[in-house]
Formats: sequence, C-alpha cells, structure tokens
Amino acid sequence: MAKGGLQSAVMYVVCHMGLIFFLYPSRFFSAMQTGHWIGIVFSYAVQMTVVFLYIMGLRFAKNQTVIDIFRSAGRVVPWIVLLPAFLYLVVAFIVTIRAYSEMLTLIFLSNTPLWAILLLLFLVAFVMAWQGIGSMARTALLLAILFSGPLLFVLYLSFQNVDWYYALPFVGHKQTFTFIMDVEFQVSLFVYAGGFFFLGLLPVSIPINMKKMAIGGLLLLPMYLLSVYLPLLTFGQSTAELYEFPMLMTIDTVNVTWLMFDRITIFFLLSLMAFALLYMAVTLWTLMTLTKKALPFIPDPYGLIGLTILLFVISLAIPDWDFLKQLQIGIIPLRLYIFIVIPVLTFIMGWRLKNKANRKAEVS
Amino acid sequence: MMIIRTPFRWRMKLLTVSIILLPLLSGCWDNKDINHRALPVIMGISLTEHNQYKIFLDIPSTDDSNNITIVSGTGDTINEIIDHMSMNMESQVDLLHLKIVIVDKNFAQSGMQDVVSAFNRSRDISSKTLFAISEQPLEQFFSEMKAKTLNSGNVLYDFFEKNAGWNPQLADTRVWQMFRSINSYTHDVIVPLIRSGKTTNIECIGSAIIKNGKMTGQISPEETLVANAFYGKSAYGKLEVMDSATVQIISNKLTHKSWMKNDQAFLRSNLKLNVTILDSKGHPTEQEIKDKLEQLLTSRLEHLFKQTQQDEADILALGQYFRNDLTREQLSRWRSEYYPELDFELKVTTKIENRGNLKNL
Amino acid sequence: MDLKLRLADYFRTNADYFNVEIQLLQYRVQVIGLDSLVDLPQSIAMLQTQTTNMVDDSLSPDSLLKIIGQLVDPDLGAIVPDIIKGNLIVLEPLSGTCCAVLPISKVVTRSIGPAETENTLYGSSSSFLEDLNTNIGILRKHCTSANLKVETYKVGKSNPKAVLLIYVEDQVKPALIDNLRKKIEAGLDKDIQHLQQLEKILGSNPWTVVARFNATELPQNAAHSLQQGKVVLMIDRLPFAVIIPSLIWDMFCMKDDHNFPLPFMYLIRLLRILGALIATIIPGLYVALVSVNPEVLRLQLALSIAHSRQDVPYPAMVETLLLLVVLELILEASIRLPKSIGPTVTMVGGIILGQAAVAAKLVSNLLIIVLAGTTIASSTVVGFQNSVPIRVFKYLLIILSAIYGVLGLLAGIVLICAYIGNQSSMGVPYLSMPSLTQKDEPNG
Repeated sequence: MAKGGLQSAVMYVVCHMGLIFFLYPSRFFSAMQTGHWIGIVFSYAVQMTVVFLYIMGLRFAKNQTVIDIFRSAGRVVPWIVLLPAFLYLVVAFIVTIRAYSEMLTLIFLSNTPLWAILLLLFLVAFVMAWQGIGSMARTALLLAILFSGPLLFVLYLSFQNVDWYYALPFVGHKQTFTFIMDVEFQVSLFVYAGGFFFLGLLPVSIPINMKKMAIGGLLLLPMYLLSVYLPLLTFGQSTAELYEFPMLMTIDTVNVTWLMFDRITIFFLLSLMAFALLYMAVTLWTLMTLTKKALPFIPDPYGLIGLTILLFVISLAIPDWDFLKQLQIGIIPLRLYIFIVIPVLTFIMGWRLKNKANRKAEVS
Repeated sequence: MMIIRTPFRWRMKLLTVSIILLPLLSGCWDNKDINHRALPVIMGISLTEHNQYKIFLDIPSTDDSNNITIVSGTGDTINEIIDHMSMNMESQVDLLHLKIVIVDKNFAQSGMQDVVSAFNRSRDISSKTLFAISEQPLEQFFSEMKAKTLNSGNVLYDFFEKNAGWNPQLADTRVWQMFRSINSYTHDVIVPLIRSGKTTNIECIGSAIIKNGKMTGQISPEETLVANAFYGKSAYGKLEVMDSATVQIISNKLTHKSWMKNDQAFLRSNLKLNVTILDSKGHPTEQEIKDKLEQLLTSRLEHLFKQTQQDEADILALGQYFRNDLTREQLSRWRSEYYPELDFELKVTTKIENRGNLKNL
Repeated sequence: MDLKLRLADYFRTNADYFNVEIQLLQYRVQVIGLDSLVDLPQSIAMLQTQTTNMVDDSLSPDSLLKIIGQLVDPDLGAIVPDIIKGNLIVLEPLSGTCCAVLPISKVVTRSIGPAETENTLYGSSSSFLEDLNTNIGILRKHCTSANLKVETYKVGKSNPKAVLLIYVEDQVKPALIDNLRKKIEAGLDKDIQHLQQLEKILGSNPWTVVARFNATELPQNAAHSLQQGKVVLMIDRLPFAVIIPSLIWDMFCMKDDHNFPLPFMYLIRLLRILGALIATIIPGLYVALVSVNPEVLRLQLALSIAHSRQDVPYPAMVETLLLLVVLELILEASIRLPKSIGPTVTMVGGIILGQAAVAAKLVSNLLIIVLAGTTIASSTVVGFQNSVPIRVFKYLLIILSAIYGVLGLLAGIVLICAYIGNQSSMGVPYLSMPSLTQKDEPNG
C-alpha cells in the first residue's frame, strides 16, 4: 500500500484527540492560574522528544516490538520493565472509560444507568480490539475522515463567545516553573503519557513514518492549546476552574441560529467519543498483546474476553468520582514511568542492539 | 499480520448473546418519547413571603389547540417543585428546552447566586438559557402573557432570539454569563427588564445591572444600546439624534488604550461608528449630526459609567483591559478598589456611510 | 455392444437425442448430437461443403475426421460430455473412429441488450450475456490491452461449468492472481451455480454483510476494474462479471462517471457518499432524537415533532421499524412482480405511506419524510449489491439509538466502521484504495 506510515500517524492523532478535550482542561485549570501556554508547550515538547526517542529506539531495532527489544537483554527484563507500563495502562483504561461514562450520563443520558453505558463502551472497545490492530488502523482512518468534519466545524464555531483579553497576561507577573511539581499538573500529563505506547507493538504491516508522525504531532499542538484556551477565553480562569468539563461548557454556550440542532455540543462530544472509543480499543489491544506475550498459554479469544470482563468489573467497582480523582493522583509515578522512562529505555536498548548488529556485520 | 482470526462460531455466539441481551437492556430504564414530555419554554422564579421559591412554567401545548399552559408551584428548591409538577401532570416536565428564565424584581434584588449555580450544575438546562427580569409580579406577567399569546408558545422566545425579534436595545444575557459574572473578577452583566405590554406582548423598559448575581441598578434602553455598542452587538441599532436626525448603526469598532499610574487605572477608548441616515429634521449639516451624535453617545456612556461605578459593577468589562497590568490578586479587588477610581474617557468618531436613497440631507 | 447402440441406450430418456447417417466422401458416417443444441440441417450442410471441396478422396477415415473435427476416444465416457456440451459427434462405424465437431449451434442465448440491473446515463449500454464467449468478446472490445489474459477452468463434478479468470497481466498483483488460482484449483470439484458457491470456493466467510465481490453487468465497469489491477471472474450462464476484490470505493465510483466533466464527477461521488451516510444514519437519528435526546433539536422542531407524534401509540423505535418493514416489502415486491403489475405496488404503497398511515395516527408524518429520504438515499450507491449493506446497517443503528440515544448512534457508527475496517476480500482490505496505475481517486 502506498500509504506507509499514514495509518500509524492517524491512529496516534486520533487516540490523542479522544483524550485531550474531556478531562485535560479541567485538570489543567486546577494546575495553572496564568500563562497556561507555557505549561502546555512544555508538556508538549517533552512528549515530542519522548515520542521521538521511542520511535528512534524502535527504528534502531528494525521491526521489533518493544517486548522483543527488551527480551534481547534477558528473559526477565521485559517482565520487569513492562509490568509497570501494563499496570498504568490498566488503570488509565479504567479511569478513562469510567470517567467518560460518568460524563455521558452527565451530558445527555441522565436516565441511563451507568453500568449500561459502561457495557456499551466496553462492547465497542472489545469488538474493535478483537479485530486486531490492522482493522483498527483502517477504522481509525475511516473515523478520522468521518468525524473530523463536525469536529473542526464545532471548534471553529466555539470562538463565538471568546473574549481575547482573557488570554492576558501572556506571562504571569511571577511566572515560575513550580507548576511542574503540582499534583494536578502531573495528573494532566495523562493526555501525553498513555497514547503512544502502542506504537511499539505495531506489526510490520503498519510501518511508522517519522515525517508523518511529526505532522501528526504538529496537528495535535493546536488541539492541546484549544482545549485549554477556548474555555479560558470564554469564561476566564476563575470561572473555568469551577467546571468539571470546561470544554463542553464552552461549546454549550455557542448559539447557532441557522442549524436545525440546538446543542452542537452533541456533535462535538460524539465525534470525540468516536476517537475515544478508538483510544480505548487500542489500549485494550495493547493490554491484550502484552498479556498474550506474557502468558502465551491462554488460547486466543479467551484472553481478551477475560481481560475485558475483569476490567469491566473493576470499573464498575469504583465507588465515585472522587475515588477516580484519587486514583489518578495515585498513579503519578507509573505515569511518569511510562511517559519518560520507557521511551528512554527503548532508545538505549535499540541503540545497543544496533551497535551489536553493526559489530557483527563488521566481524563477518 | 497480527490480525487475530477468530472462528466463525465465536462471532455467532457473541451475536446471539447480544441479541438476546438487547431487549433486556432497553427495559431497564425509561426513555420517554418526545410527545410524553412537557417542554417548558419559559420559567418564572419568584420568592414568596416565606422565602420559598414560586415557579411558573410556560408550556406550549403540542396538540391542535396550540395553547400555552401555565403551571405554577411553590417549594424549597427548584427541583423539588419541578418534580411535584411532573407528578401532577400527564407528561413529564423536562427542562431540556428551557429558553428563558424570568425572575421577579424583588428576587433579583435579593440575589440569585444559588439559582444561577443550580442552572449551571443542572444536566438538563442549557447554559444558553436567557435571563430576564420582570418589573411586574410574575402572577400578573404570566396571566397577561397567557391572555395575549393565544396561538403560539414561543412568542417570548422569539422576542429575544437573535434571528427573530431581538434588537440592540435589548440586553442579551445568558445563564453562563450570569455564572461568569458571579465568579469572574471583571465581568458583570446587564439583564433585560421587561413587563407585559399594552399592545405588544412584551415591553422592554431597560436593563438591570447585575453584580454577583444581585440586581443593583437599572439603565434605560438607550443606555443599553450604548452598552451593546461596547460589546460589539449594536449593528442595526437606531439612534435618535436630538432634534435633527435618526441614524442607524451599520458597524462599530472599539479601540482601547489602558495604563496604570500611581495605582490608578486609566482608560481611553475610541468608538468608531459607521452610520446611515434614516431621517432628518430641518436640513442639518452632516457635521452637525456627527457632533450631536458624538455628544449624545459620550454623555450616555458617561452617565452609564458613573452609575456602574457607584454600584461597583463593571458591566462593560473594563477590567479586562488591565489584565496585563494587574496581578491576579489585584484583579480580584478590581471592582471594589480600582473600578470606582477608574479614569475613563470615551471618544466617539462617527462616519456617515451614506444618506439612504437621497443625495442630500 | 456397439458404440452407437450404447449411446442410444445412454440417451434413452432424452427426447432431443438424434443419430442420423450421412455420406461424407466415400464413407457413411453416423452424426450424433442433441437436437436442442445443434442446428442439424445446417451442420450437415456445413460438413458436406467442407468435404466436397477435398480433392484427395483417398483419405483414411482417421485423417478425414481429423480434418473436420477433433478426434476423441470412441468410448462412452469421452463422448458423452462432448454431446452435452453441444458438440456434434461424427462416428465412422467401420473403423470405429469418431470425432467431435463444433457445429452450427442453435441460438439459446439472447442477443446483446441493455443492462437490466444497472442503468447507464452516459456510457456503453450493452451488457454481459449468459454466453461466455460473447462475454469475452464484449470485454475484449472494452479492454483492448495486449496483456489481457483469460484463463479457463472447468469447475464442478456433477454440473461442470466453465469459469474464466480474466486479468491484465501487467496491472494485477501477482499475489492476488496466485491466490485466486490456488483457491480455484483446490475447488475444481465443487459446483458453481451461484455466487454463494463461488464464495465457498474462494473460502470467504459466507455470513458477511458487505459484498465480497462486485457483480456487474456492464462491460465498461469490468474493463475498468481490470485496468485497476483487479481480477474478473466469469461463470458460464451467469450474465455478469464478478470483480474481485471489492473495495469500498466501488460503492461510490463507476467508470461512466468519467464521462462527466471532472467537477461533476466529484460532486456526484460526494452525493453518493452523502446518500450512503444519510441512509444509514437518519432513521437512527430520528429514533435517538425523538425518544432519548430531544434537547438536541431546535425548540420549534421539537414542538412540531411532538405535535405530529401526539397520538402515536407506540415508541419511536417500533414506529420506525414498522414503517421500514413496509418499505422493504415494497422494494422486494416491486422486484418480484412482473413489469405490468409493478406500478400497482408503487401506487398502493404510495397511498398507504403518503397519506393513510399518518391520517390514521399510526406514524408521525416526519417519519414518513425521514424514511422516504432514507430509501431514496440508499439507492444512490453504485451496484444493487452495495445498497444491501446500507439497508442492513441502519437497523443496527435504530436498535442502538432506541437504547442509548445519540450515544448509541455513535457506537453503532463506530461498530460499522470497525466492521468495514475488518473486512477484506482475497486478502485485500475492503477499505484500501484501488492501488492504481490508472489513478482516479486522489483522496484517501
């Protein structure tokens, strides 16, 4: 196929899009009072670097998955290195799916019980993960084509109530970098942390193209900025920080008189949910792939089914919203681990492998 | 390829199971069809003597009669009242399509923070819902409304709708703006003051100045127009220049210059108006009209500004222009400390774009 | 037993079996065949003109028969298939040699006419026939590439049929053609009477909703896909070409589009995509908006819908399903009925749906509009077999919408996307673009 690398880049973008707009702004408003762009650009830069290292590491190792790369250092190494990642992804998956279903009941399904929504989300994620990464990559492309239109349309419209003066001051009077140590800021990093690990598990049939990934990454920067700045410019910091979902509230304020629909939030939410579902499916697939490598004796569909049911039960068992927040804070070390340590390790290991291969080539 | 080939058997099993489960699912909760929901368009809120809420709902009927139904109830919280109404009505009251909230003037003066927060918190009520304050007691307002609007439920809604009956002398304030004004350091709002009219359905008698969810003062429709010009929403507003002409605003543009000196805020604004002449009296010159117009607007704004300074309500959101100069902590004291001391001058420049179909005045 | 007698015995129950004796040069020969497939007088005349012109009359029967036909073993097993195929058997009883002659056959095929299931607006309107040779001829006229290859396979044991594997050598991917060849060769003893059996031979999941191959009556479509590097299968007596693999773009693009000016071509294709989207989404959206999420509608719209549904006694889902079933019935009935009675169904359906159902308060009138739009839109895609998945998918969306409202609608769309993403025919993903030397679709 002539679209080498397009699929992985689209998946990368789509997964992040599904994450950015919902939980991120609210966490970010709690973390920073002024100069929001500094925080965003900072985390973005870290992410780009880290993704770059990760991909370089993978490229050094030539078509091997992360698991293979770590296995080259010993049988136990992948267990030690990837177990925290696995744990993080489990928690991240549960938190995301649970938070999203809470949000959905909040926005437009107030009569529907939570478990039913969870069931639906799990079902869709399960079906997609079941079909494998090749199908998911194609699905991602199709979803991106279908839903980018409404998404961009809504984003464009939501500038309606913007007061640009809220962006001031650009740099706070006593702007410091202490926000990095802020718990809320570290929680907000989940947007950057969990969405790229799957790149290391892609099969050969879905190549990664550095240039296309870079373009995809660049596309994400305005999204990160918009997700925070749209609510900020509409409500101002002191109001925006009160909302649980500032972005949705922002779009809810948009009044379009010529559309046959009253609440365009729904288009926005649905388009993003499509992307979020893909993110969940990809995460589920990642978890399944890891499980399969770790415990190869489980026959094929049962592993995934067991995993899905387990996750479903866990996410049902979460008592309330506050617990969810505590959980988010609780996994900060894991988050930083998967965000920074794993890519760096991959890079180093990949580099070593490459050197080894070179030396072998020289010897022979 | 890592595609997992699953046996066909599996898919069929899954399919069968999900098909069997589906009807079970849909039976678990009620989804009420649209014709079994009562969709109120207007909600009136007032306080009784016992400090209880009294709520009026204006529900357009969906049968052939096209009447509107007015339901009212009293209770401690809004939700309690709505629940009670639902119980006693043949369909479920659903606030999803609430368009306007009208509050009693007394209630507005005693503070509406709780109601506004409740509206923002609510899952049903759109944050685009309009706010208005009624001069009359709500009983009277709604009964007069009902008497007049025989054939359509959404007259009042159209009155405020941008693409229907709205005009720049009306304030246009939504629930989310109210909420922002309660929490924001610099943004206050004006809310239209209405009463039921003698010949028309509704009569607008100006706007209420709302600060932190509390009505503190009142301005006239003409002043509202100036405020709207400041918000950039004045297009097609008409201005009567005393004794000489009526002009229509085509577009306006605002520029600001702000600075701080000795802990006092200074602001110089320049309002550029493009107008067209609608009619004129006794052949004034263009320059005369311009001068008079500029004078008129400046004095109106001056008056408006002085009044809001007294009330410490920054309805023009002038504090926004000092975001660069003040820290957040200072900004939080903007209304009480800096705004009353603000040195503000407005310069109006008018350009007469055309004179209609006639060549001269 | 004499071969002649044995043959007569074998075809005892076949009324169209004939066996006449004629003189060819100095020999008396038996001419054997099936009356229904062979034009006997003409064929005899042909044989005689062929032989009378021969100068050398000292030919042995062996070499004589070699000239007029193809020698076959003079035993039952070898001769019978030839007879059934419609060949003429010439038997020289004294020497016992016999040969199969290609006779002048009776015409059991209609002449080339316009396509029945696919309409063309601008483009060749001749269509494929039941007869394989004619089909190849038509196809060769449309696809004049020197690299056009036609491979023949005899498939089936009890009802052997000719299957043609057609491709353009320098366009097609070798992997695809090898794969197909292998599949067909492995299934040589299975019958092919219809496409489901073909599916079985090609080893694809028979329960798929999305069409695995595109059947087309129009030679230009077949020729176009050949140039795109696809493979065309033709089966004797099936008056259409089967195009493998089938891709999603086949739903929206056809060759004749290129006869329009370029902007129109893209607009028309956009329209088809829109049609497919509308047809799948709108009924579900109606159910979702009416029964679960009325807040999405504008107030005026909400009130008028509520008004039109005022006395409808059942939930929106039942209402929609009810009317949809009626619509599907009308569609099916109008295919089934003879052309002369067909309009009756249309008329009766029109009356029921247009007026009576609403007047009787069985359904709301908005629903009529929605469903009429759906039905019209679902027919805009290219190829009848491609409109079937659209018809099926909308039911999934309706059910999910009735439960989860717009979220259900979305989940349904995602599921459909995932399903489509998972489909592949002969290892080529359904969602892939035709990998083209002849590019005709810039986006992707």
